[in-house]
Amino acid sequence: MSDIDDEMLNDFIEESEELLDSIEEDFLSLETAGNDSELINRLFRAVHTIKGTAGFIGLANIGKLSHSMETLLGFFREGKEKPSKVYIDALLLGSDKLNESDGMDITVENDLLVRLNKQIENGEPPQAQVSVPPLPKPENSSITKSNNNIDNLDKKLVSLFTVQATEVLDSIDGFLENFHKSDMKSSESELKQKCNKIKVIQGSSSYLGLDSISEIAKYLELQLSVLGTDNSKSIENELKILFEIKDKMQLLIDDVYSSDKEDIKDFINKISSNNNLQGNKDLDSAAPVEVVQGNKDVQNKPNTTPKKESLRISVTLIDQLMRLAGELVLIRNQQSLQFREEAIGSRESIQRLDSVTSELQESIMHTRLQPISNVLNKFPRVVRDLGNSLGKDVELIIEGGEVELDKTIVEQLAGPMTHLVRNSIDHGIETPDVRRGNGKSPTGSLTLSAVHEGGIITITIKDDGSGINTEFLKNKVLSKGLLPSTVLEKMSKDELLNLIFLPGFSTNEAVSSVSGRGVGMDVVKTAVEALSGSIKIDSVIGQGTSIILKLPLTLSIIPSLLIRSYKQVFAIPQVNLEILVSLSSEEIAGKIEKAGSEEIYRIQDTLLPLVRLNEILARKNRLSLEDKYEIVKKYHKDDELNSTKTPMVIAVLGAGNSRFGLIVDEVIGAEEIVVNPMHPAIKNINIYSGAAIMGDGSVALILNADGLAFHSNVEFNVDEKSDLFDQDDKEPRESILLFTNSNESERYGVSLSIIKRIVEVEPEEIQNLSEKDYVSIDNNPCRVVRLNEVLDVSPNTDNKRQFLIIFKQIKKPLGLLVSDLRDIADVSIDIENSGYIQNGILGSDVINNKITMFIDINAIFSMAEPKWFEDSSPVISSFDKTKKKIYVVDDSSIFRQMITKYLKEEGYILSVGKNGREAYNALELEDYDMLVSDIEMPEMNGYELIKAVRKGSKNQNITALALSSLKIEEARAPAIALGFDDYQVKLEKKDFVQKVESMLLQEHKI
Amino acid sequence: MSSAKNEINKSRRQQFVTFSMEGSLYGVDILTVKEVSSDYNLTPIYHAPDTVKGYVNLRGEIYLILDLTVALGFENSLEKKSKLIIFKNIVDDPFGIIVNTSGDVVSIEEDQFQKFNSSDTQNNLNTLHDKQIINGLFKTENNLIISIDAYKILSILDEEGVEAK
Repeated sequence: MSDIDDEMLNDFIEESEELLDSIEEDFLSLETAGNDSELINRLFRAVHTIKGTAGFIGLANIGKLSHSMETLLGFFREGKEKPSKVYIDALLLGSDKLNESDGMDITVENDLLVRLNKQIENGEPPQAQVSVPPLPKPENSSITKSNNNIDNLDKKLVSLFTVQATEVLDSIDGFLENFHKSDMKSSESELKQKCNKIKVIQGSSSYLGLDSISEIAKYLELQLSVLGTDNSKSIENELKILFEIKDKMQLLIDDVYSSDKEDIKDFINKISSNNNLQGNKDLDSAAPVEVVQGNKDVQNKPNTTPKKESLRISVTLIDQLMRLAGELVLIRNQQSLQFREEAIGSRESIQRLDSVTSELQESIMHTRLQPISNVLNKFPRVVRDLGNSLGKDVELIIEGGEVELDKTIVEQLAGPMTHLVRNSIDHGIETPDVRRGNGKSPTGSLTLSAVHEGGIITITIKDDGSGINTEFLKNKVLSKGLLPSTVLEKMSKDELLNLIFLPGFSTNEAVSSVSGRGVGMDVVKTAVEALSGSIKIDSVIGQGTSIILKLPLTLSIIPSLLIRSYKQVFAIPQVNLEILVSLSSEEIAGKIEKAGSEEIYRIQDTLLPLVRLNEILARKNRLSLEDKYEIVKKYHKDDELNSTKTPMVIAVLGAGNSRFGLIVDEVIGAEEIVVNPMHPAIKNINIYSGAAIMGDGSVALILNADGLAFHSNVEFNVDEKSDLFDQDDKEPRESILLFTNSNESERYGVSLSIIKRIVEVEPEEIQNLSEKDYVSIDNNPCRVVRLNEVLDVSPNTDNKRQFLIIFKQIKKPLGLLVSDLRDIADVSIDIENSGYIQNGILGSDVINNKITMFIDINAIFSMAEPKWFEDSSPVISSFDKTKKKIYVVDDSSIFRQMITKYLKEEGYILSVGKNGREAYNALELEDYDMLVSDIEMPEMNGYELIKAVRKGSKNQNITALALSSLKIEEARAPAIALGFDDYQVKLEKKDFVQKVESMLLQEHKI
Repeated sequence: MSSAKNEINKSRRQQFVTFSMEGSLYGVDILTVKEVSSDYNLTPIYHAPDTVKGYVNLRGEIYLILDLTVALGFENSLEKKSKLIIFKNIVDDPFGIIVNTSGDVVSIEEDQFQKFNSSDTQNNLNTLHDKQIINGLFKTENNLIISIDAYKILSILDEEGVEAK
């Protein structure tokens, strides 16, 4: 039974049996438990799975029955109906019925369906005493394997089959045409692939009862598989025979309904005898071609490669071997500890023990591994059939089928993968017309790839379809009332994509037989997580969607990182570990920032929320906002991180689409650990996923990244750059601190890079002196400025704890008091087009769907305390500013706006660029008097720019000022070294304007 | 006399591994006990209920170790040399308790065993009974021993879990 149909059917039966067992149990408990939503959801999923698979395999009646059951369950779920006894009876009957089917399709159990449907339509409980009609035996099934029953065949299936078969034959035709021209070796894999395709056809045909086609297909495959392997035959001859067989097969397929009777054996016999006569003159040579005698069992496959022998072993035995091997490793470890200081003579044997044990463990582990192609190979069929039924052209590309992973995982993977593939084709890939309209090739492509990397298998399901529209998701979630809009507004793109994992969510309007009931992704996620894996979505509208599954190689042994916290050893699965960062005590201060209740680490342009494992372990309940403030306070004195002598170790963990940094005390090293599940009595502790025995015999707990993220109540997700789809003109992103005062709809933003620190201020700390408020910061009075003092905006809420923002380059003791810190958003901003609003506001843009106003802190402070900012000694200009041309380049929209505003007020002529490349091109075209450039920019940064300019461009000797939010010490030296005339930290208006003026003056004098 | 002899033959002897908590002597049926161990390395489990002492590895198997003194609301009186009573796999998941014990085994006639029933309200057994982990009492020459039902021990955690919620 090697053919795929049977394999699928078997899988279906196996899966369904398992599901039905639990379904029955659940139905019974449903009766007693009443409306238990978790129970109903579980039942719903189970029935849905059966429905989906049945619908796909073509067992239409099972599909119908389960559909009805599902609908009824749906009513329970929505609370429209109570699961009363009569319903349960009907449902149980339904599950009995399904159980009965045993893989054959059941005949329509009209009465039952009517009963179920009646309940659904009328909402009327049926009579409790309906007599159960006798259940038909499987022999009455609508699909039979009888040979001559073509009339009874499902016509649709047959036509599907003929299309598929013709296509395969065409492709073989093409392959054979080119075969003799090409090199034998290179086409070997293609040959194999063709053989497999014919196998599929053969399987389908035998399933459909088309015996003659099955027969000839078998023969064709046989001939094809030995093509070119026997040197005694000429390739040309072999090809000729193959063409002949192929043509014959095509004839049979074209004529599938009318003549099924022709004796194909004669044909085969004729061909093979010809073959032997022509090709095999030496009768003694072991020709690997068989004369097919019977119509059964063509077992004697040509033995071109020695067959590997295999043996069935019970899984329990392997598990026990595994455990013993684990013990052996343990003993070895203890032995080697003891021998460390002893005689050298024993070292050699210890080393041998060492390597043998490792190898033993590895070999035993490998007994459990299977190639992932066992799952992936099902999909060509799935994709084809589904594409056909939905009228979509889909090309399937499979990569990495040879990657091996644990048998249990391979088995468990089929369900979720099928779901995902179905979704991709159903919801993702568009119809050919739509695709053409969007300028894509009418044939959609779906790639399934598997990669093994460091003990972790990454499976990617990537389509080039329409992508997922997050706005649509949002509306959907809103309309279903799954989440309130306030929550949705705050979500990042990744979080929005994750919405499809919510139970009860469905992206497609129509409920089809394949998908769209809204239980789908929820089930997939649960299934993948049950395999200790993670699932992640990446989608670009119009370009496609990628779903990335990360799975451990095996469930029992996983590579992990051992760390120490609280003097105890913990293991972190490598699946979750992205990077490990160690910061020396000098580095810590600059890289760890505090933002409200979060500690943040800036890594590769993204902001990572930090979680301290020590604090998590010490706190049994999920951290509240107060807890988080307390923790931040504990480690930060004012805004500075308490200095530590030891380096800080941060393990960057990814759990699904969320990332965070876990601060641990110490890293011990990497080790493969044998996973033991948590004891059931304490399974509800979500920060652990299991326990493992260490080399010294002690037990270490395995940390669960998801649980840690939940427990620590990490507030925001940091947007991750999509690495799957190259976005060519990626706008530069900047980190914006978002805050509000009393009015929720008035949102303000300020660039994080110019903030020096944020201090919490209690109302009683604020003192009023001559109409102005002050607060003591580091024992110095600091003037508290509120936005409504100088702008026409809502006042602060004064009754609770507020935040005082202190800026980097403001030299006077001034702070901006804000009521509520909202978020730190990593976004790209465009404020230039927002027009002038009022002095103190640079412009506005939409962040997280809210209009956010960007404040000009220089302007606000100078309006609040005009005297403090008055020019005490104005530089007497000896040149006409309106004749000076300055080129300003900065990737941040906010800074561009600020710089140009300040310089325009002075009267300079300005040109503006967004990156080094733009600046360089502009400077090549025209003469300028001065260049004001940012350092960190995309395309070409400030350093590269000045280097290029100084190397010999049109403006080789231009006066150049570097401007950056980096601290002076770090950036000044390289800036000057590479050719800038001066360097300034962003951005205090007076200093800046004076600097520009003095630099131009200098140039003027020269 | 002959009838009495018969009775002795009929009544089986039952053996208990004993340990002490807050001055009282307790025992568990020896048939449920796999071993008493004094050489162990306990790994604490943060976030677990207070009753959970931690995990312990004994020859490749991981056991969950509970502290009954905490579960029963006694003052924590564990001595430094407390031992583990490891149970056989009487329930699916391996576990043990940490106790002050000499590992003494007491055997009694079954008829000495007095089933604890709900109407008894003597002593401080109320709390114990609430937890439903004791199933009887028996007397030896010098002591009254309270018998703990090993099968019920893990249910303490369920209760704690419920309370926590």
